[in-house]
Amino acid sequence: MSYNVLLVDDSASLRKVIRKILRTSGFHMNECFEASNGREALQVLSRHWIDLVLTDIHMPEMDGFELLEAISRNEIWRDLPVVLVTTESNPGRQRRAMELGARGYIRKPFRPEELRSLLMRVLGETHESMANGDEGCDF
Amino acid sequence: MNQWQMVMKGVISELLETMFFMSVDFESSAVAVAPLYALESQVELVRNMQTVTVHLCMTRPFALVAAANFLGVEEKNVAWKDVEDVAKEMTNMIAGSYKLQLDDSEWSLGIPSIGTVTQAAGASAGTGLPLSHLGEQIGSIFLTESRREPA
Repeated sequence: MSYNVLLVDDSASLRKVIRKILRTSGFHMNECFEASNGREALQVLSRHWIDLVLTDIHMPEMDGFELLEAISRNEIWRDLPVVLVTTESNPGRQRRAMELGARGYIRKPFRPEELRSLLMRVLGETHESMANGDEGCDF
Repeated sequence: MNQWQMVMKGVISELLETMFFMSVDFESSAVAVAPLYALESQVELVRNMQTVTVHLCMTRPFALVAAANFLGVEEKNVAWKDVEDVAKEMTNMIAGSYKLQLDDSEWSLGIPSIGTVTQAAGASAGTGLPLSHLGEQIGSIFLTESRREPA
């Protein structure tokens, strides 16, 4: 299976780096969409089918927590896997992100293999839950 | 060397090795000529009324090599706006990792920005952490601190 991925970060260079890591690491990526903050991300989500979101926390206009809240409130998006890629290391904020529905967390700086490994784990869990029919009837 | 400089050395070494595929020295004794910095990036760490700003100054060659390595492209293909963006991201990651070494729960990290270049940054030992390569100073990290008076 190939995935449509949405990268959300106010740093264009970091989006480029992550896109390159995904392309070159054997990750099965179909299309890669980008947004520079949470508000743009919601626009992309409303227009395209996305399988995985990678988002920063600290962004102008709408940050990663607000994006997570918006995704968790939406019936269509609430089961969408969201992974945080951020400099934020505060355990309390990590816990808050998980409570809001984040599936994974990687702290910058990271090695390419660490990101790939995390994504495969997150998507593996997702597929497993879907195979078990745990996705509910929100769709 | 101050405590923050010792912490920052570890932070920078790990960051440059992990995502920029380069290394720097932290010796200023071999530097004969103060470098001409091409850009300065900064980000704030805020705790209650206290703000610590992390400043990263870079010479043009260092900034270009760092950006090219980070993006995985040749230096000639790096636009200056990309160099600035990478410098901001580098500062962001430095400050984030530095925050991890502080009492992390108390500090909030801001959004990095490009500031006015401070040519004398880190010129005096103790106030800045010089970054050098082959005896040539290529950058500097320094902190500034301010306190807001309670209303």
